[in-house]
Amino acid sequence: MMLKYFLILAQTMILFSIVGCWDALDISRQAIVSAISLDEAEDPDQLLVGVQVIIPQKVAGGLGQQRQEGEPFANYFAHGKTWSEAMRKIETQLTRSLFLDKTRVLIISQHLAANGIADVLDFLLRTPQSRHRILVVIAKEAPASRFITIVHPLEKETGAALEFLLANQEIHSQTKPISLQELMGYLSEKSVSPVVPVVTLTADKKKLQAEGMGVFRHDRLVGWLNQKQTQIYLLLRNKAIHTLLTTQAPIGPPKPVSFILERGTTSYEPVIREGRLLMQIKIDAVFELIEQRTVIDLTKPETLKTLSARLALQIKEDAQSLVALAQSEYQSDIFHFGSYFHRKYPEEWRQMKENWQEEFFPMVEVQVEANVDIYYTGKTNRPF
Amino acid sequence: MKIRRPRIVKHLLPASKPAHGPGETVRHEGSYHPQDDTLSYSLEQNIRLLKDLFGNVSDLMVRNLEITPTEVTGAVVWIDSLVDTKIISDHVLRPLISLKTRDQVEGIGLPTLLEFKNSITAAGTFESASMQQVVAGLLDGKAVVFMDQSLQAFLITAPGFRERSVEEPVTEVVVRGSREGFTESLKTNTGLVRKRLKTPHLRVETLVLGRQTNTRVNLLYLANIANPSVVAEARDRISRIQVDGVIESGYIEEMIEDAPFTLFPTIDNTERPDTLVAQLLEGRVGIMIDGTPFALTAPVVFWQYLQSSEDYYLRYPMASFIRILRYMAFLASLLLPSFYVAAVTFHQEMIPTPLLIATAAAREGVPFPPVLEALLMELTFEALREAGVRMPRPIGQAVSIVGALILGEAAIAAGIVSSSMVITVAGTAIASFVIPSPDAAIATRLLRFPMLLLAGTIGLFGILWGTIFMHIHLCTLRSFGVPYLSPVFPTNYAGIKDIFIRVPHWAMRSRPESVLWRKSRRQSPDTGPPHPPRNGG
Repeated sequence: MMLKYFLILAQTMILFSIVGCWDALDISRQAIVSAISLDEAEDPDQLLVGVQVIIPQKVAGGLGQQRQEGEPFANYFAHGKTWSEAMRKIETQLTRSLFLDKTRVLIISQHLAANGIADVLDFLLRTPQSRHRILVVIAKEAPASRFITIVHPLEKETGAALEFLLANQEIHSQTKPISLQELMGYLSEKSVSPVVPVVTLTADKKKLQAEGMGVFRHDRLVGWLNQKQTQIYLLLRNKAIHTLLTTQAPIGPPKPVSFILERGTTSYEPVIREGRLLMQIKIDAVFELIEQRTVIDLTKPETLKTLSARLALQIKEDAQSLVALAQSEYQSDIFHFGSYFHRKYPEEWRQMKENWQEEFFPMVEVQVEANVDIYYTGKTNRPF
Repeated sequence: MKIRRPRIVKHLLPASKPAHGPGETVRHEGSYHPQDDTLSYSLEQNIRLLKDLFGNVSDLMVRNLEITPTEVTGAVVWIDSLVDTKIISDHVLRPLISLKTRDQVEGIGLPTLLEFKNSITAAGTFESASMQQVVAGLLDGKAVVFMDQSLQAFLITAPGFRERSVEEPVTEVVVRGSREGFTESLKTNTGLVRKRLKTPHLRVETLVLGRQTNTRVNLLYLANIANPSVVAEARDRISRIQVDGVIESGYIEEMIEDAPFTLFPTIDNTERPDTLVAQLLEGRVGIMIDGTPFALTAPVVFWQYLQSSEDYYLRYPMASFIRILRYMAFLASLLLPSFYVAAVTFHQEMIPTPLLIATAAAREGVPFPPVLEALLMELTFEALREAGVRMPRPIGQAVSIVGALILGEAAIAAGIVSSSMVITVAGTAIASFVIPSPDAAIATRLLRFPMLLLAGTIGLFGILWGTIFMHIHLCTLRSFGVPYLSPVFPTNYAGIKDIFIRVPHWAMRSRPESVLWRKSRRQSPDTGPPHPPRNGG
């Protein structure tokens, strides 16, 4: 009886040693990748892939543990016909195996993005190691590989730096981070296009900064939204948080007044009338006045009314020009007009959806209505 | 007549057959097995029999009483080391000797049996005609008065050995609650329970266990609450024990538990009279053993090991919070090192990035794989703990200093173990200290190692495997017929009120059904939350 139990135990133990450990890899044998850059190579068939690998000893270290000097990361680059080929070449320079699970940011150069990103993303979507919450950004006016070499004084690695940079900008409605997962959603639909955050180098080429967003048509980068356009775009998409808008004072000398968005909703009403497409956009927003460089007396209700009318007009004009830009120049339905038509006119939509962005979206007539209220004027009423 | 042991003293043995002659009745080996139990008419024979039986030990005292100048008509026998000689001299010897004097003055002759008995003023005095009882009485700290020409002897209770006084229990400390703990004396312990349970339904059955030690064991239960079949089962199991000695409750526990090959205890023990009373009130039986402050209780359920008596003394929100904390601590104590090992070996993507980087930095240059590191650290911790418990107190402190210095400082500085592993092991240790019952902590302490091996070889899958097997095992366990995981599995919703949280006392209306096997109320049906009168009355 005891022998039987012993044999069962022994067999179980043998089973463990046979089955186990096949993908056991100690974390000290893995190279944690923080960010990946994708560039086009000189040879158009090739990709230039760069990875930023974290050096843990230089990042972590509490009391008693001496943090080592130097950059907290190392960069490796390699060319390849495919992404995976390039990754293999990178591994030839590495003593540890690449660990992609913790990658936070994928930086794609603007030229590569202009040629289409669907094919290059395939590797990341296919490998079980990657996470689909990787943020995707477009590198503007500099190769993507340049960005992963920049040292950030506050953050340790580029991945974290870019993630926090975008998150910080999102609060101010100056950009909207997009994950690989969301990007996949856009790419799988023909009637809508993604807008991807853009980073660029500062004038001294030593730091990086967020700069608006990049507009895609399907999977190709077709143009840019500057900071102001991004703000209006996010307001139109109901994604605005603390948008800062500046307008000219309508009374007195033409000096600027700044407002911050308190809350805003944009509602869409699609109409199909006699074969013509019409989109009625209604923006309702409440703003707080945070700064004025004039001497307007804000205690008078009429003043606030004039101010809000001025602001509403500006928003309306900006929105109209932004929609016109998307319609005429980019032909890219970044506002999801299609989904509103789809919901209200499912029958008509069936005929339009194949060529929505190229054919129908530019033809949509847009009416913008903006209602602005100024509820708050800060802690002081009267200017000095 | 062959005496079957253990026997229930409560039912005194009936007077046995006439004597064959005392000298032949004794076998001088091991213990006392008399062929014939009755005393002899001859005082001399009785004394000789006792002296032969005890082998003329120096502490067997015999004081002869000479009632007439020439004749020895009585004798007082006691074992000096067990008896309070002051009681003997004041309440036995002095009245007996003065009795003699009065008789001589008045010249009436020898005193009658009644006169003899009445002159003994000690409280615990009773007669016996059984040699066996006399011997048992002597060994139990009684003095025996023999009289010539009498088949009766008087046993006088005069225990004289030192007892520890009632002190605060060491193993189950509470902030709020009774400070009394059991002592080594069965009589004191029974009194501590009786004091709290003033009901005639409290039954105390005394059994004598141990062929050599003759240890008294008390079986306690509430006749109107406890399940009679559980009581009968407990009595039966205890009666079956036939060993040389019962020194501590652990001897009985291992002899009567349902599942002898499990790591999980199926009999609880307590050092606190209030805990025992609470258990009795829930229909459990208590087993108290002379010579140990630990009383056993059965049947038990698993959840009981994560409860403390203070849960019922603190207000219920705090008690519930502490209970939830204990469940988490139980899981942590069992699984924390395994989770750590599985995560750093197989599932790095599960760890948040900054923590992963910190862990990777800490593991840099550590010579052992995580599973080996964890095993080493856990074994070291267990060794330190054992050293700390067993060492005399001044040395124990040195042990902990050495342990803290070597493990906490030097080992990390030298890069032999990673700091994250030390944190994990320390967290596990703290969690295991949170478990109130040392018996349940033993299960987690031992199961931690197979879990570590599983985690180190097949990762989270192994932990899942181990946990499932542990659950299956727990589901098969029973304690005196009560499923070990009840009232959760099988589910009894009224019982769950007192498992994961503790509901207020006024909401705990029923007694635990899983223990009693029947529905019963412990409160009057209209008990509810207190309603103070408004407007001050």
